[in-house]
Amino acid sequence: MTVAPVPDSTLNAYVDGELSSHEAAALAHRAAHDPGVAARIAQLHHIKAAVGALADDLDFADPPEFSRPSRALRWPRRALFAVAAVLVLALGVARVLVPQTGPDTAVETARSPLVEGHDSWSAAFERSHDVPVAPEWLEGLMTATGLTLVHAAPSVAGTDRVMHYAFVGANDCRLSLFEHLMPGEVDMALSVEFEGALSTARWQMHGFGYTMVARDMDRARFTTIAAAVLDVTRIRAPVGEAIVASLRAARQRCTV
Amino acid sequence: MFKDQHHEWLRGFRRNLFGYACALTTDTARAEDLYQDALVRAMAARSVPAEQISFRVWMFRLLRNLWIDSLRARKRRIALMDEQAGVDCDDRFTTGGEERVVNQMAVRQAFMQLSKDHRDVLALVDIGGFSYDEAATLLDVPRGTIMSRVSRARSALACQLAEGPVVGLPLTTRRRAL
Repeated sequence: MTVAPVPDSTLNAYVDGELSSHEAAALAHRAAHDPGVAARIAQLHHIKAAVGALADDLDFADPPEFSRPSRALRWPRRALFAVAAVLVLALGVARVLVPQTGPDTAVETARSPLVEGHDSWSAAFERSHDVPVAPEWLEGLMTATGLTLVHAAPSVAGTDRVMHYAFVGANDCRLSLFEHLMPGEVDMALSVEFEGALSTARWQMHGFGYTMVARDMDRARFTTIAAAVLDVTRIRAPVGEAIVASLRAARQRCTV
Repeated sequence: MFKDQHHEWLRGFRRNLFGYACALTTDTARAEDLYQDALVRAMAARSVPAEQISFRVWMFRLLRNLWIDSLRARKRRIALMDEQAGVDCDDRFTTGGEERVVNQMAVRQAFMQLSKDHRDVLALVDIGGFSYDEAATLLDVPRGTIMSRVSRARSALACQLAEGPVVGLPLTTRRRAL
């Protein structure tokens, strides 16, 4: 007995968080048992993320200042854009060319570039003026945690391309969520580790790998957030009131 | 009338609005013109939505209407008629099982080769962050139309990506000329 194919419009609606919770859960279950569906969802998700990141691209530079409708100063601004683009490109090239220090363990092999990615973003955050966009299901959840999305862009971690979402909260809390494609991989349960001030969480869901990184964050809060994000990556739809309430209750001050 | 509150709201999505202008025009200089024209028009409007979400939809619609006006003025109707471009390889996309890590540069170039309608709906949903309902309101079409347009647009984009090398963009060319 053959199973009817899932219409593309339904898959796209799933990726866009436009299905009802019941529909999304049913499709997630189908994807968990059908690699073809999972692969199509993965591709759509990456296309969506890549299109969304166009606004952060070099050529989609900052818009003209809102308070300056006059066009007289447009050439100097364009020159600034060009300089900024060159600087950003140079930083990107430097990041690729600078050799990475060797990790001690196999786990660190996969994780350290992401920790470095988090630290690099965190160090440069004060100079960042992003107006990022993340999937509604993710941004809504993180808002409930008290963290605000401040950065969303593809980046390179080691040899992998990843989607980097970064959040900040009160008391200088800073948290990164990295999402990367892991086609054909089975789902993997949440794994949380603490090394001094560093907190990391990893899991795999529906052909994607997720790594969450924070420093100096209350461990209970970090774990609560990781568990909630894992849940939302399972359904890719806005979460229920109970999860939101638990996240609000788990808010703790960052210790930095 | 435009108030301080509107300025504040606009700061929250101005980059998205400019990204939408870039997506429509495929040209940064024209996008700047379009963006600024939209702001000027908005600030001169007698009636501005007093609710945040309505205001956001109103701003995107205003910019889009200005762009359509400019297309008409330039008699570039052909750009409005290419809805079907690139959708004839849906089968390859929907049945192809291999995974590909999407290259951001390739996506940008492929996106700019999409038809106007495909760029329009993807920019609203993926860059503007609008829900299907909001996009339907903005474009004055049923929600189901948005659903099918998004699906076809992403299929067309996947086709562009699968077809390999794409030509340079006006955006890139312009910036190199600076």
